[in-house]
Amino acid sequence: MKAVVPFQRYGVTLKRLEEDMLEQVRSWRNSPEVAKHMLQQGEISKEQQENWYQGLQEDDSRIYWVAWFKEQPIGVASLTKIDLSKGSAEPGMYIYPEQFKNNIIPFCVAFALNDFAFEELGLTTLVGKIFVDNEASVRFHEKCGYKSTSQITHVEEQQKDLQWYSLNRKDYEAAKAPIARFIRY
Amino acid sequence: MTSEVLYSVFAKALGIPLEKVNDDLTYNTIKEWDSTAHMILVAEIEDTFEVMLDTDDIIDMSSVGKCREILKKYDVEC
Repeated sequence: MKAVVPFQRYGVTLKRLEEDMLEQVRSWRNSPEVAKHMLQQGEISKEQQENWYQGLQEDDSRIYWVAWFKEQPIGVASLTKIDLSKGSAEPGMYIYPEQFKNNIIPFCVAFALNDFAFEELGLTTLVGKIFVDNEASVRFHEKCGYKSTSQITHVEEQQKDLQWYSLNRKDYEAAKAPIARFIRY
Repeated sequence: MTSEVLYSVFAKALGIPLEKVNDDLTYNTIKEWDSTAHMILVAEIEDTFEVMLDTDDIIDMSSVGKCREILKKYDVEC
C-alpha cells in the first residue's frame, strides 16, 4: 500500500518521505510555528526521528510524504490511522515557508492528499481533529468540505479540546471545485 | 479604478474595517488574512476587476501594494 511513486496534482508533488529528508522534516517539525499545532510539542531528537521513521517502514496504517512545489520541499503531508476495512484515515499536513502558508498552496497540498486518499486508496471518510482555538485550521477544513461531528477529545497535556471533523468524497468534490478553478498550472 | 475600490475589496474579503487597509497591509501581519480568506480575496479581485489571475500571481499576492503591482500586469490601474 505504500505510495512509492510520486503523486502529482494541482502543481504540487507528494514524494514519499525518505531518509534523506528526515533532518529537513525534523527541523520543520521542531520549529515553534509548526510544533504549536501538534499534539506532542516537545523537541524531537534525531534518534527519536529515526526510530519513528523505522516504525513507518513496517506500518501500513501510516504514509508520510514531503510536499514539493517547483522543485522546492515546502512541507509534510500524511495519512495516519488508515483503515481500509472501514475506509477511513486521518490526513495531516503543514507548510513551512512563510510565502506559501497563507495562500492557495495549502489547498493544493490538501487536495492532492485528499485525491490520493479517495482515488488511490478508495477511502470513503477522512477524519480531521483540530484544536478548537485554531481558527485558521477550522476555517480551512470547513472550506475543504469538512463537517464538525459530535466528538470532542480533551488533550490533558495542553488543556485544550480537539474537535473532530469528517469529510466524505461528495462533500469534498463540491467544496474543492470553487477553489480548484484558481489552480491554473 | 481607484485605490478606494481596491481597499474596499480587501476590507470585504478579509472582513476587516476599511481603515485598516493600506498598501503596506501584508498577509502575515493580521490573523484575518489566512489561506481561506486569501481565496475569498482572489475571487473578489477577479470579479471586481474582471481579470483571470495566473496561479503564480495568486501566490505572490502577499500585500495590498503587491496586489496593485500585479493588477498592472493585467492592465488594471488602481
